[in-house]
Amino acid sequence: MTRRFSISLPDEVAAELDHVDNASAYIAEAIRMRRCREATRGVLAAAGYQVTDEGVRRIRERVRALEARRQAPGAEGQE
Amino acid sequence: MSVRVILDTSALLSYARLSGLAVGELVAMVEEDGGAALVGVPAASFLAAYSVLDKDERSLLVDLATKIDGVTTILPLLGADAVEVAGLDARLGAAGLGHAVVEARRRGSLLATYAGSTARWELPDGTVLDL
Repeated sequence: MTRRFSISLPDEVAAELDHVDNASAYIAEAIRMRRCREATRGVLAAAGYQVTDEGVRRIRERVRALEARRQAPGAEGQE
Repeated sequence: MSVRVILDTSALLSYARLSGLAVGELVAMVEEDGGAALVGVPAASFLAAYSVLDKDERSLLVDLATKIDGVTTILPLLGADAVEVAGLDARLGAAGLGHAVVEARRRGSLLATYAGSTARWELPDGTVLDL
């Protein structure tokens, strides 16, 4: 089921929609992502965790370094 | 959906006991990076952690595993894996770690753990993310 809306967007935001095939799907996905982010941060904050951008950046660097190492030719554990 | 990172019992206990920021940062990272990647919580690791936590800590664990749709997911223990998982838990001496190891192998995911030296008995070094 879907509902129709008439919405107003700033020009620079609306310009993004000039490049997508399905603006409704694009906006729906953006809302889902926002909802997911709020749910994630909400659960972490309710638990007492104050996650910082710097902390997330550091763990991302470590994860990506391991992922890159695993994808390298001849990496350990590769079949 | 792919499982990018798996949390073992030690990671779940740390999160629920508020004893380290790393798991929260990891979950936030996977959410921020988007796509179809998830944080996996092996069912046996969840059960092992739950069994030793107090009431308030259990609530945090349950919320982490069940209230962030599209970011965290509980990975079921398949009947065909039960014997292997039991054997790994017994050999490693860490309840719930066996299921995390099996899921990391099967899915090609990283295993996030505070028991890295033990996990490396069964997994390649590059698969283990020390928290």
